[in-house]
Amino acid sequence: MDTIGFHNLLIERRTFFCFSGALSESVLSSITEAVKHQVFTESGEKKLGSRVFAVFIEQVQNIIRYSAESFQSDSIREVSGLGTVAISATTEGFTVEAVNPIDENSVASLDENLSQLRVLTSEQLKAAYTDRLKQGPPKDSKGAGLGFIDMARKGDGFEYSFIKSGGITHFIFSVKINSQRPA
Amino acid sequence: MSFLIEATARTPRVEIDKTAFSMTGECFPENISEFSEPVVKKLTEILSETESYEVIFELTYFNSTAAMFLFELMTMFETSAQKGTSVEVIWRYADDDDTIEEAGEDFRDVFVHCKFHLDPA
Repeated sequence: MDTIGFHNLLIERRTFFCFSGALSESVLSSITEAVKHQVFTESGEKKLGSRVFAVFIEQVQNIIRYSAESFQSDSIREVSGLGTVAISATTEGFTVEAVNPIDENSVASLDENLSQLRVLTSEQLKAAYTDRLKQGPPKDSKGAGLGFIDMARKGDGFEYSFIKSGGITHFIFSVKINSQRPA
Repeated sequence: MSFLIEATARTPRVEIDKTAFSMTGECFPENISEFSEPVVKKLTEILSETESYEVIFELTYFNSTAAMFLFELMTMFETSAQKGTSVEVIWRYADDDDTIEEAGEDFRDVFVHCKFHLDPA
């Protein structure tokens, strides 16, 4: 696709922030202010903006920790993960999407965890969150293992899929954040 | 001597002395252990020799990794409270901030030996 086509695509899907490449904690630090500015300006509402921002942070940290394409920088002792993260405006509010290559061996367990998470009510998500805090991180988790539960709580539904492209399996995780929440 | 960590763009201000602990700001550190270890170390020293302690959380945002650390801190306060220290926890938040309010409620329900106050402003 040419540059203008790419530009038009982003405008058309109302994607106002997109980063694609090697993500690390220091890259995240440098884009944080820009994203904050954008989500709080776009949403025009503090509460909605902070939910969008929180989901964005969890998405980026998942890419850093779990992307199957990861690099270790010698100079600053930091891990980077390859992926794409994007924030778009929707009729209901916002969508925060993430894509990263995933290890084929992790697909089954992640699929199982997420399919269980998808059907939980907000009360059940709250309980799952507290339970996970009490238990501590699961063995295979590099982070708190809480990220997905947190995104499920802050969002209003998520979609995920595993797509093979160019011989690589990609994990796609997309969270909706609506301005109106059911009571 | 009070212990002080100034706030950064991704970490809160932390102040610890013999009578009180406070954490103010946003918490989503680049490196959680680098941030948490000195805090845990200092608190371990202080909590072993105190009879009453005040804890003030005034956070506007924390990520899931920081939630784990907050849980660890609350566990330390709870253990002290169970051993007889009078621990008062004040959880401050903007009154329209449901996310932080809910997080405070979660902690209040788990750490029952601390006197936990939700304090909307």
